Amino acid sequence: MASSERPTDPIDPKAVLCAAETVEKIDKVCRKHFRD
Amino acid sequence: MLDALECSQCVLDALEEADYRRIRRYEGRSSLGTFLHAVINRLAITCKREKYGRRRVPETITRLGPWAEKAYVLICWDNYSPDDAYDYLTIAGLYQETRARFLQDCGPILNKARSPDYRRPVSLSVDAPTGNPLEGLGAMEHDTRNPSHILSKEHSEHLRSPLEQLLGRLEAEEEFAALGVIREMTAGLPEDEQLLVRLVYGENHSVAAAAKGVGLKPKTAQRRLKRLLTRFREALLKKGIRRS
Repeated sequence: MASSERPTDPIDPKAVLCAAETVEKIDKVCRKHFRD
Repeated sequence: MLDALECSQCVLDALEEADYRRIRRYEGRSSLGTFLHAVINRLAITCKREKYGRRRVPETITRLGPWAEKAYVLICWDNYSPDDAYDYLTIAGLYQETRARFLQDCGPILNKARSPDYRRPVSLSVDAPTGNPLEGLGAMEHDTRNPSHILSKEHSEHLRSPLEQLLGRLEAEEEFAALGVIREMTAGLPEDEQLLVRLVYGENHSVAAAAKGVGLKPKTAQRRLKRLLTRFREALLKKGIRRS
């Protein structure tokens, strides 16, 4: 099966956004863009 | 750091928009982490552009030449003071005129830096010394009893190194005292930096050649020389020696 056809479990976007991992990712990316 | 926090908030808001429509777009073509990283990164870039505009050197500056382009980047983006930008550009060989002329030529760049669309540069001016103490004592190879042999005022300004130009604006007596200060400071530097100063400012080698001799990358050598010039200026100011 091609990866594009791979079935995915429906995600809970609110849970994804609240996850510590996501918050950390946002913080890291923003710091990278504004580190100067 | 406030900017990064603002950006985080901006990204969070954008991700929540329209019932998390951006997160709902996930189709499983990559890992969720990769997908989120790409979305967050794009949003952070958008946020930054909305705040500061695209980081392009304006055409009016580009038309002035490569020196102006670099000066713009240093002053408007990298928060260099005009004085430090001048030192950098002269060390890099991109600008050969006097400091006064540079400040005059920089008018359009400084106007851009003052524009509310750009971040105000944090001044790295040496007018507010950071408290670096004068360093150890020792001997530089030059003979300070007769500074004129390395600081000949017959040299046209544009052929002189930034250090020579700095000293060249002083009266003879101050110049003598200034050389003493610089001599002391240089003697207290690590060996490779002493050699760098001697090669570039004492023997007029190019920064690239001197860097090779010392075993440094040219950019590293440039950075070190810039830092040293700032420290020299600070030390001179502390001794009450100012440019006339």
